[in-house]
Amino acid sequence: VKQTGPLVSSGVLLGAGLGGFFDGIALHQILQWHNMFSSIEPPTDLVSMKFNMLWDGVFHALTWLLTCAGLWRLWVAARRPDVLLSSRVLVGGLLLGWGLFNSIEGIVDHQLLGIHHVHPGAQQLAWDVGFIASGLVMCLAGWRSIRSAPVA
Amino acid sequence: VLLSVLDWGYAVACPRCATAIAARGKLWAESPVEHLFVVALPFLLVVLVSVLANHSARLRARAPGAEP
Repeated sequence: VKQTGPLVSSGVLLGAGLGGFFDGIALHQILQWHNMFSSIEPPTDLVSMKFNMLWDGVFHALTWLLTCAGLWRLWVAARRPDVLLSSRVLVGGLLLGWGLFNSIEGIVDHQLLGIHHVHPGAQQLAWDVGFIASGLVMCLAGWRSIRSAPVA
Repeated sequence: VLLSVLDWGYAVACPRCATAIAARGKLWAESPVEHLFVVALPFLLVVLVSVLANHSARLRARAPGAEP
């Protein structure tokens, strides 16, 4: 029986990395809904903007490292004869990684630490809950995709 | 409701931390090192899940009742 674990493992890392890039590029930079510490240090002047830009950069550096680690693990998995190279497993791993990242980031950063919110304002709790829910849905879809792969 | 559940969960999981945080007035940290830890925390948890997935077959094989 071939293994799916190494491909899931690389997919989780790649999915979380790419999901982190989506968050950083779309929500931090293009839409400018929030920055890394915008609930603690609102970016209202140049100094606070530079402070948030620094920590957005650290966030992007970590997503880059995660993506590199995922690529390396994918290469290692692809060269192993006992690993099942299935598109469903890889896509499932990617969805699982992105979903895990959204769920964990949503619970830790938005709810527990309160360092930023998805879309600050009157409806911020709804946006935050929606963000976590989207993560859980992606986790579920990823898990189902992985489980649906035929194991040879 | 979600915030209340999270507050309750945190107080149960780590009462000392919850007391310290209540005294401090916030959960997030002040120093750059603590900031780095805060930013890195979700990434570390994802890496942990990835490592567990990578070793899932080995863990299953060691489970009681598993086929040799």
